[in-house]
Amino acid sequence: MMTREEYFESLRKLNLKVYMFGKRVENPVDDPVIRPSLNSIGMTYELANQPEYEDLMTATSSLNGQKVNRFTHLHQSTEDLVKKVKMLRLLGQKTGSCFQRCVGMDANNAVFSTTYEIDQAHGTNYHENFKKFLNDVQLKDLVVDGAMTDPKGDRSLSPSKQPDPDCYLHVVERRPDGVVVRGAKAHQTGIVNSHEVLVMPTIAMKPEDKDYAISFAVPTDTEGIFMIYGRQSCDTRKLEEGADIDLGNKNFGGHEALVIFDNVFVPNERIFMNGETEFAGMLVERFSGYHRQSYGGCKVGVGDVLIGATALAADYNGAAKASHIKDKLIEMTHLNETLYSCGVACSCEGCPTKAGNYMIDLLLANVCKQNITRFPYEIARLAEDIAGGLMVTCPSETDYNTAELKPYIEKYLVGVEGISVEDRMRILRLIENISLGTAAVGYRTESMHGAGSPQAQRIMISRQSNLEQKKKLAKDIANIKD
Amino acid sequence: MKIGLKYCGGCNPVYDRTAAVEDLKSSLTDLNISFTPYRGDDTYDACLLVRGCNRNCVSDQKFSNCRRLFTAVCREDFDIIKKELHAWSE
Repeated sequence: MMTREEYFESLRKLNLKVYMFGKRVENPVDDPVIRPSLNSIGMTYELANQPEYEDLMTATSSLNGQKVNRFTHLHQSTEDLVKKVKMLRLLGQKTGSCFQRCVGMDANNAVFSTTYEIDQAHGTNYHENFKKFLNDVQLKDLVVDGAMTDPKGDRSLSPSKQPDPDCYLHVVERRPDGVVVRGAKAHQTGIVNSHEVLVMPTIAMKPEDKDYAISFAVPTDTEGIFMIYGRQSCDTRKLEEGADIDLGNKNFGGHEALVIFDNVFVPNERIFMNGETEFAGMLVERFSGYHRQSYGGCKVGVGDVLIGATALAADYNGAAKASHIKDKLIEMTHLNETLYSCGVACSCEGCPTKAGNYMIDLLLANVCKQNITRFPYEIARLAEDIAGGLMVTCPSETDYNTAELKPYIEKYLVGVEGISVEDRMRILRLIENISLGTAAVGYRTESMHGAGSPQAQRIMISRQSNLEQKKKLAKDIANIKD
Repeated sequence: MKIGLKYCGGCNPVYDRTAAVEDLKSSLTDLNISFTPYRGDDTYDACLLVRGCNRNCVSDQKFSNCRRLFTAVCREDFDIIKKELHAWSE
């Protein structure tokens, strides 16, 4: 496994084409806007090399027998699925933000099992292709960006009916040695910090969408790939000289980007689906299922940080003993642990796929994610309630550090005795960061739309609700004869 | 005495596991004990399983490669383990 520093160095060797604020970023690794997100993934390496975390952070590979980072692992049991959720919670706690690496893990597990079943049906060789790719990922300890979401254009039209065919990534040329693809993937979490991008179709498809049913992996610096960095609320605070307090979370963060595939060549050995439209839905369902489970870990870990910050804010305000404050902290904890319960439950109820790796229970994973679309908002609302208005009206740290203003800020923003105004500002800025600053991208809107928007979960819940069996139960109890 | 040290993953510990282990080590300097990271293919006089809470994420059933297993699930357990190690080494 790589160390954190080796990971950083490995990224420097990539020739990524990244644009931000209208310019190409020459050195993404050291860019002050991007760097916190890199540090978050760095934590996945750092903890894996520490004995006190290795039980969650590492696993024994089913492909090569080596000790590997769990983010590259194929789940071999329900215990592995539970450990995944615990690992994600741990990383949320350590970074207070999105650490980006789960999406590749979820894509790997989904593609592994789907390629096996495509090969069974079509006699293709995708599963072996994928195993070779993943073995390399495991042994080199690489970060993989799982790329599913196409821009989608007019949502009422299928991929092949779009006015602009590039609204869904598709094959534009078939060659003896591979294919050429064109299109884009939106909202790509962690792509700038990834070594490889694993592309998957974004919806179930019909036979006429054959060119769009494509899955493959290529290095992120492959010719034709470029990224346009997604800006976040308060992002330019990171560019202010000496910024610290105002960032809330100076060291960690997440990122997304729009990734363009402008006539990218994919060699045959890196193709995992190519026209088998009837398997596109399976791949989407499996990836989204795993990713809906993931949120039952990562968002809970960030929630732990937010609850802790809120409790500190109450302490610093002198409000901690008020009964309604205690009750609100209980409610925040209750909501957060309910999310965790769903993540653990869908893992415990998992089952093996035909390929041998383990899937979560889809119904419970969708229930998990449906709650994720709601509870972090309520947790953030309660955090803002307890923190008070100062979390958004506090003077800047530049003002705080200005000699003629500091005495007044210290005088009028004081809380309980023994707590410095600076510490009070720090905790309020952290709450701001998670609830409406840069980390709110991950904690709030990503909770709503990441791994599928709320209605996508409701469709899955409806499909698996087993309503006929429930009707039968009611009839039996009520003595209704058919 | 060689003790294999095994931590749970630490997803939601109710105490500082590493600080507790460090305190235990420093309180046992009078004994000739070497703490080493636990590995399944090694052998030990004893193993110390450090859980962050009372959940059974790392099963105590897997430690067959040691003569004795100590398990801690809270800070107070380390006081008991310290006494037991002193008694055992006499």
